[in-house]
Amino acid sequence: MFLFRLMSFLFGHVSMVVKGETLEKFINMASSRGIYLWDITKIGADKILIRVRLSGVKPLRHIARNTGSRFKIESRKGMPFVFNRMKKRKVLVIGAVSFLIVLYMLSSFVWFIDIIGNNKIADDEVLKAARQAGLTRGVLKWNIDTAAVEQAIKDKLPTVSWAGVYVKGTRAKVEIVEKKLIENGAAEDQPVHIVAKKTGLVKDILVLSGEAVVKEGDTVSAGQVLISGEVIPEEKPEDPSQTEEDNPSPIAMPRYVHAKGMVKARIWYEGYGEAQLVEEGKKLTGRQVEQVCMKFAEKEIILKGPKEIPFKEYQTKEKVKRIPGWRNIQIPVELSNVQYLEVKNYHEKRTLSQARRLAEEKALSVLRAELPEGARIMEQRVERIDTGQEESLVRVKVFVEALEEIGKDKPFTP
Amino acid sequence: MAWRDLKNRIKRQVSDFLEIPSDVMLDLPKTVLVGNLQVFIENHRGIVEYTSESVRVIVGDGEIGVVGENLSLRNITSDEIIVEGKIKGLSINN
Repeated sequence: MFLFRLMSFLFGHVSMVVKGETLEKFINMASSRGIYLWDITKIGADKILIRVRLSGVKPLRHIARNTGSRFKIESRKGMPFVFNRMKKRKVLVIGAVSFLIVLYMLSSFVWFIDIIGNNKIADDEVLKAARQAGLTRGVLKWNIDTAAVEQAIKDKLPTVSWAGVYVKGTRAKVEIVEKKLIENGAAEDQPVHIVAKKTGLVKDILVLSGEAVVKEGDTVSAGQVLISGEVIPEEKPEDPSQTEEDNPSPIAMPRYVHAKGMVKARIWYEGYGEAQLVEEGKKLTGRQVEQVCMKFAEKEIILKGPKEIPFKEYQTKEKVKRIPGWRNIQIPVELSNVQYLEVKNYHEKRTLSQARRLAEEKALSVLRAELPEGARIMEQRVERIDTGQEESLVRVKVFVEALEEIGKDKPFTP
Repeated sequence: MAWRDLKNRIKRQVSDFLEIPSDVMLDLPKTVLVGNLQVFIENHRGIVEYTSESVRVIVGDGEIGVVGENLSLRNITSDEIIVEGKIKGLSINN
């Protein structure tokens, strides 16, 4: 049925009113001659409405003459008639066609380049490398050889271990995986001391190369050398007479090495936190409305969302999209998306122990931010600060003892 | 007539025996009624009467009449007619 409708649309069909005495004969003759009629309805005593294909209209004229009936075309449908109408409105057709062409042309350029996966490499560097291989904003997307761009990015940026380039619509996606470099600035052959990063108590020391200067239990301050890269050869005490003769100054010939090792130390941290016994403030209730506005110069049109904000108090989050300006031309159209988040006053009373726990948590979270990765908390002590006077504030100090690696390379020139 | 009846009888027996549908073998009309909405009449020889209340179609040696309300001919080709509307009755006159 669908196919039939499609065909009659393509070839064109008309609906006509046939008037005559012997309409049955008219129908019989038409069908026996192979003229296809459909949707025949009686609309009067001697009138019927029929539909027929455009190709059947001419033979119907004969049949109408033979049966003594007349027909009048009521409506025309289908492509042939659409074409005829189009001939009268050439500009419209040109407009529609040029619209399609422009749409197609504009969608065949790359307008956006997204770079994902880069942490250390700047976007600009990747873009620069991609540009040299032919991927830049405004380039025809069929001209991009994605494999070549991938290779170029890998060649130009040595810290990239893998690059993927996909063009999807007008957006090119550059995916990058960076090489994980071992963070050790100094070259292997450069003499290096290991010094303390922080002040602490040495708990454990393991020397792989170099000479330990401190030992377990020593208190070290920041910057102090822990493992020295300067190795002074030991004097041989068995025959001091011989060395004096052959080599008059053996102490003046120390070896310089790249010191390696691990020094773990106990470090003390102190954190402070406070909490109100009675807290007042504003907080978000979670209810929100969104408003999408379009601005033309001064006029504002709300596209989506309520006109009036249904909240008494609220915060706003606004995102504005503008058409990028070109030279001195600024297009005064912008789309703003405003989110209204309802806020409510709250009043919270806490008992002393609740406030203390809250203050403690705050102090600890401050401390945790300070602690380096891999540090292990050995001991933790909480102390309330008593200011002596009556106040609605609980102040708490937290002391933490952590065991962590404090060694740091420090190159030196002998 | 007797000769023709005999011929028809033989044809029918043959078609029964061979399980050939009798509308093919005997040139009989095949009428399909869909609820009270549509009637398909295959193998017709033209229409005799068409008004919005009744449609009469010649078939083989007889006539099939459809009565109803707002009848319209949905489709008409040289061997099939589809009548649509509110169908109230179907009669076969030989």
